[in-house]
Amino acid sequence: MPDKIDFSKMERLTPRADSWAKVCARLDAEAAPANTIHIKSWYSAIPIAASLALVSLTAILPAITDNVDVPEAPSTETISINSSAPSEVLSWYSSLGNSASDEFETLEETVGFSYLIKE
Amino acid sequence: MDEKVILQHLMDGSREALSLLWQAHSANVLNLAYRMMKDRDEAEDILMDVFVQVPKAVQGFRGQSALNTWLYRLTVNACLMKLRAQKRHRELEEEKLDTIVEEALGKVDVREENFDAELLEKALAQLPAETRSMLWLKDAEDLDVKGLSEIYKMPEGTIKARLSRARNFVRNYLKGRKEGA
Repeated sequence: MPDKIDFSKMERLTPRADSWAKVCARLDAEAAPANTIHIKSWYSAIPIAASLALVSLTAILPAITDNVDVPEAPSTETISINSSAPSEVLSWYSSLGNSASDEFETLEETVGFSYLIKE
Repeated sequence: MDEKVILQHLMDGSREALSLLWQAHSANVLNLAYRMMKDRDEAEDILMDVFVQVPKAVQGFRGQSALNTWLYRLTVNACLMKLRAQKRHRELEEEKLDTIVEEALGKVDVREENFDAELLEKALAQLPAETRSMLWLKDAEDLDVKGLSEIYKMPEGTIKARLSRARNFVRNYLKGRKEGA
């Protein structure tokens, strides 16, 4: 084209030697934050998951415990002191509240203690 | 390697394909950026910015234009963004320049091809960055008007008119300086 401007005498640049390495470094650096964000998302997911698990357990646990059969477990209401306590304890227990004395009737220490240990 | 193959590998995120693209086009991108920015360091920054954004930008590239045309478009956009951000874009707006040049010069027909490089640099510096880069791509990089139309998103007629005015401006600038010397 005759109308063209002649740029042939003008300086023509070439990229600096380290420019490509810098491009690669920037691309690597851009890739790295993506992993960090991924881990961070796990950080936020952990408390949410823990909260959900807690709520679920709270809802489910009573239903599970209701279904568990414990045939051998003695009911506290059926335990009678007559079946396990020694005679000294029984006599003290039966006399409680029957005395005319205002003094507080105490079980002899050693008897009570041995009973508790036995239990 | 064929351009389409390079493009496919680029879309797959291949660093080797990007390296090939760098070898083939980095100098052209750098020179275009230098014409627009008028600063070597900034041109290098633009070059690196362009190639860093290539792996992502290529995902939206449909392959309708040549790879170099697409790269030039990325470069021109990056330069314009930087110029605007730096608020250094104090050059005359295109329309104002067109009017001034037409009024001052009228229709000129100068056929003077042996320009002094330094003087030519000064003449180019008078042009707006976009027009300067357009003229560079057309006359130094031999891009056709169709390619320029894709890069600058302007009708081919507008590109031709701008190129013509820019050439006239440069020639008259040089002529004026030589006569004044």
